[in-house]
Amino acid sequence: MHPFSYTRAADTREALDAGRRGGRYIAGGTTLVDLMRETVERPETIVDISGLPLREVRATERGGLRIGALVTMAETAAHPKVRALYPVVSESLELSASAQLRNMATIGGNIMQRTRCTYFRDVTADCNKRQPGSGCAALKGHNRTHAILGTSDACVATHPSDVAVAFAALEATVHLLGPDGERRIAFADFLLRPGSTPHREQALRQGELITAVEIPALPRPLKSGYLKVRDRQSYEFALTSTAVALHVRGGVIREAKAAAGGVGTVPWKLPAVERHLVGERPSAALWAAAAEKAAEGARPLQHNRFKPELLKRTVERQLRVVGGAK
Amino acid sequence: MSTESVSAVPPPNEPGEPSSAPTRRTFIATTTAVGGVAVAGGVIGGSFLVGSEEAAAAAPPAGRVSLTVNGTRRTVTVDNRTSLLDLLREHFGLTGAKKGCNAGACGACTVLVDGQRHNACLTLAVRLEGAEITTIEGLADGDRLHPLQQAFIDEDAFQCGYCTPGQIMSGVGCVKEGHTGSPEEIREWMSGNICRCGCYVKIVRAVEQSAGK
Amino acid sequence: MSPQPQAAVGAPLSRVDGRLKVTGQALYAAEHDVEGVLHAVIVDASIGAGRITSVDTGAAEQHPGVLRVIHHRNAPRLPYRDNLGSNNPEGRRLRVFQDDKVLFHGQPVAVVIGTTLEAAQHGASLVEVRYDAKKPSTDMAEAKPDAPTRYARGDAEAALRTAAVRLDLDYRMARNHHNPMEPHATIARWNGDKLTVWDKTQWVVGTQTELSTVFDLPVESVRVISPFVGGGFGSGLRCWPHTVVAALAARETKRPVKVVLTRRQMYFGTGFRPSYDYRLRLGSDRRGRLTAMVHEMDAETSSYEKFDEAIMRAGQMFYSTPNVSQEYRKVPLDVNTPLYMRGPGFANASFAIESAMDELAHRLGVDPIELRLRNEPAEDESNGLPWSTRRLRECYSVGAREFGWERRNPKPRSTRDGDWLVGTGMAAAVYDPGRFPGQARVRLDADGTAVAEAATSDMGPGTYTAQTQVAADALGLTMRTVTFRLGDSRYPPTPPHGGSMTMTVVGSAVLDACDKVRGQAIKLAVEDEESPLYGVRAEDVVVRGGRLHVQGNPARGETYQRLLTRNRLTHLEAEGAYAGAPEPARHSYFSYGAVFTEVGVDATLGLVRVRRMLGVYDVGRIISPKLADSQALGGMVGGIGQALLEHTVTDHRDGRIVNANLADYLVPVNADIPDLKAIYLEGEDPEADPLKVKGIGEVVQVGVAAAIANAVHHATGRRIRELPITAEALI
Repeated sequence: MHPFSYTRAADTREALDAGRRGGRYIAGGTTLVDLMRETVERPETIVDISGLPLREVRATERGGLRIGALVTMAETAAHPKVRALYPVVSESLELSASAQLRNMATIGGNIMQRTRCTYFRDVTADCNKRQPGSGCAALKGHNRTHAILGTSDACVATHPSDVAVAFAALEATVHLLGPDGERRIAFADFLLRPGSTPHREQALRQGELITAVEIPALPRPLKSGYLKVRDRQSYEFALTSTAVALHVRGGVIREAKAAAGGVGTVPWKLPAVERHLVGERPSAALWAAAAEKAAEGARPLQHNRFKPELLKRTVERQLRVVGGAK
Repeated sequence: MSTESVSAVPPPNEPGEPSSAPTRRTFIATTTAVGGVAVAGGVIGGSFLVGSEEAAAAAPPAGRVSLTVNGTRRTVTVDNRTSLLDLLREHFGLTGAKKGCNAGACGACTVLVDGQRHNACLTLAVRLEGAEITTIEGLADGDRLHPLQQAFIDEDAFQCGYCTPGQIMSGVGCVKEGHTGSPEEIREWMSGNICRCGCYVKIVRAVEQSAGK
Repeated sequence: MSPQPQAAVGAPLSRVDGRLKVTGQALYAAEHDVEGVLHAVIVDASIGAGRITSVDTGAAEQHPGVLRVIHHRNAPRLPYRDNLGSNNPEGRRLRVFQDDKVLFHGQPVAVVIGTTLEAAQHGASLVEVRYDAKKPSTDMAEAKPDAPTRYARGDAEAALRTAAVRLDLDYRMARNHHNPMEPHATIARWNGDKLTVWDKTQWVVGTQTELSTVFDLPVESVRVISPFVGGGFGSGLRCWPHTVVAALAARETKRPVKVVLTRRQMYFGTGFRPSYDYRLRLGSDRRGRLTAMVHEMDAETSSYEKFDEAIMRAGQMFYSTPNVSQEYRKVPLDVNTPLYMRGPGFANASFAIESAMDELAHRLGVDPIELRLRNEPAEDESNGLPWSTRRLRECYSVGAREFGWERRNPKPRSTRDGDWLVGTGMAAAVYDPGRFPGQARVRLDADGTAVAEAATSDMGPGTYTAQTQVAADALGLTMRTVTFRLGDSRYPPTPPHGGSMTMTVVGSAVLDACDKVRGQAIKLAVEDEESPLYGVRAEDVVVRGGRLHVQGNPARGETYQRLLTRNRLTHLEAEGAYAGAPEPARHSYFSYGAVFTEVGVDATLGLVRVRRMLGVYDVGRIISPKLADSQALGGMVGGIGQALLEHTVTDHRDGRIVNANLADYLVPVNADIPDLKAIYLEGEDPEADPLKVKGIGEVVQVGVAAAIANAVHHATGRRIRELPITAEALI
């Protein structure tokens, strides 16, 4: 681990000052410390933001839910409002990592997670994300766990977060605070596809701080859930996953939200699936037909050719679990 | 809150061994005696005082931190890079928390930080100002084992024993969190602790047993 | 002497070292508090083959706390004498920092020694090594194998041609890494020309001889200490380069040095279960009687050592087959050398053989157990020897009964539970436990307590406990008054703690030493006029609870304590030995088992989850049932990993292992493991050894993978012949 200086921000202003000067924010630290140890991350200054007042989950006036950036994964998952309103968020969190890591990691940090691509994590391998211009070792390397959607010739790494898939599905908003004040950004615009600049991962400006993630109000009743498919029953990143939320009234699907994980360079919203569902009556045939759209545009690699099919089946399964109608 | 109480008695030496350097235990006692100030020229947060050959270069960034470990308040100056796990193992002589992967992928380092189970390997020690840490060494009440420690023995919930302190600390957390409603629930909520000897069936029984107490 | 009453042996006792382990007091290799210890971190080659052209240590040496960087340009030449009788395979072992050659990705190329771990770690990342790299050969499919090792009886090819039923099957098994939870670690300290190391090892004597040959020291100048081993599964059966690095670094810095491998370094710094390509052809008659088996086995080895394991043995002895031919070819690759991993050879061979038997049963419409019974041999057909004990029929019948095998509908895809296709499968298991000579020493003190010692290890099976049980009964003492010590090369030598031989070898030596001490005490008593036992025939005296008395007349006797004190003896002492397997062999001797499992396969997602598993074992007498049970369940968990998860993946472009960590190399976690059950057949193997035990530790992993694969076939109708079985094979 490279040497670094450490400061603890007493308040938001101190944090922003330090951030503006190039300090890296640390909250739970579960990704950052891990990557610092691998020397993938070499910050000169670390700014501890764990003392900032961003630890609240509260209902918004608009009927949604605002989750403070420093609320831990465990606290978020267990929060009665989250459980009641957005089971998909609780489930995605509780299927992530381990109980210990969920006690440490925060919501803000979770969506800032960096990829698990083995070549990214190994500083002796070529990786455009880590070292722009060095090449992508994964493209023709071992790429079973890599992305099939949103990839480029520069990068095929997946975004590893589960709850980010739920946030993408639910069309959450990220609240940011920077030197120029507050701003909000749609979740879909927050995480960036690699394109030719895979080292740019978030639409964050220098020194900007995530203060909260807001989930919008959705029509009730809303059924939602998260399915994670992986080799191991627990404590593993997704091969494929999906977050699904459905609002059914009068036997007709009025609103459908869906996204997929483990397959995209960013949490992968599934608008074609959503469109196929809205206005239809739940049925096994509908789930299958909608799921067929899940892997549109997929570009599988040598070792993950199974992923498009697995993704479709994952989505179909979860539509059935959430929407019923076997 | 008690103050530093680590013994300053060095461990027995082999006959004929040089004994110029104080052991890590004496070092800790020394630093706390002077308020945890970094010793000039010495290795900050290091396990012992070092000679002049090593004192030439400037020290890496370090910070002073006061934390409570198993009920004992300790004030130390640590290299910013030092993890809680390395602080415990290399500086405090508390080797109960284990290093299995050093990457949050095995759970062997699990300790309680302010009552919650955490991976000590991914926790920077310098961030722990005011924190209360409980390790396996602090779990028993004197000679009386914690019920989960006893359950691990009774159920034979370990073989090599290396993951065991982490399993037990994680189990304490699991019971406290209330995730012991069924064997399935225990299995899922204890899945952050790998046991390569494969004692899972008995770990689940031990946690189940102690949850009922 | 009369046989001793058995109070401890066979009793379901808890571990004698349990309290140390649950309180964090058990000290593993890196945890010994050695005064003044420095930290060393190894720099690994980042190419797969080639030469080092330069090593720039400037930046590393500038870093505060870094004391020294050692590499091939500045390291002293080391003698590296031959080490005969070690676990080093045939070849020329890797010599650390002795030349500029890089033989595999991850090979140690330098070591950074610092006053703190942080400094050494950072220093290691600052060492700049430049290479002249060439493309390594790491792909078995593209490399040239060595000349095969062959075995033949009858004419298998001819018999195959005329067989009524023929199967021609290709199996592939992934490379597996032991991944004990404790990383390998060594602390080395010199005192003049004497070297002490605290090491993670399954063989303190092996590490001792290796270090003595590497540094050309008299063997008694090296002491190896290893009281607790945080798992091994074979990875500690030889002394690895990092142990030499620690000793070298300590010698160069004149300070004790600690080296702890990172989890990543465990993947190329220690061994692994090699990957296999295994082609198996079977011929049988219409009733399923095997007429021919042809085994062609290719396995990885390194370019510098020929790793060899018992992959051929099962195919020669397990089923009655008149015609067998085998070819075992090692494929040298630019990788580090493999090493025995739990159930070595057998765990791979059984996957092929036991999967193939299931295919044959299915083809013929015969129950898989019935097919096995039809091929049960009367003797070991490879050498004509009778079995010592072979109670496989009982394993099958007890297992079938306990598991509910008779309720099984043999038709694949016949059972469904929601989204899950449910199937059951079984497989047989066999292992050839080692029986090498070993020694032990016992001392009975005048206070009535005893200490037994042997240079063995306890990587988890419970050596401390089981040996205490043996000694307690043989001396007629309670568990509490006997201490067993291990893990120090100063104790009497034993063979490696592996190959399922510790109970046989160390247990028999401890038994021998204790019998001698008890004999001395009895002789003393019956010849001592002041003893109540004076004049009694020695064979009529037994000892119980530390008291010698006439068999059947407990009132007449006295305690060890009184006897020794009166005779002014501080202690009685004896060395015991186990001579190894009898020569020439009179019996063929194996451990056996039968594994039954039920799996669920998600019909659309292809996920396989084990729902229950039962193992029934014929392993002779059980010394420590509570611990033996844990060992069996652990073997099943290991087998579940082998079957469904474990796969070391190499990037053949540069020889890099791409999943060298515990997040990407998957081993089972708690949620993967359902209720497991083990049954040991009661009884003993009178021919095996003085304790009448056969080994447990290996056979319990053998057969698990095949049972799972067979259950997957039963669930889905799909035959998977490649390990691990993953979703992509099933969707």
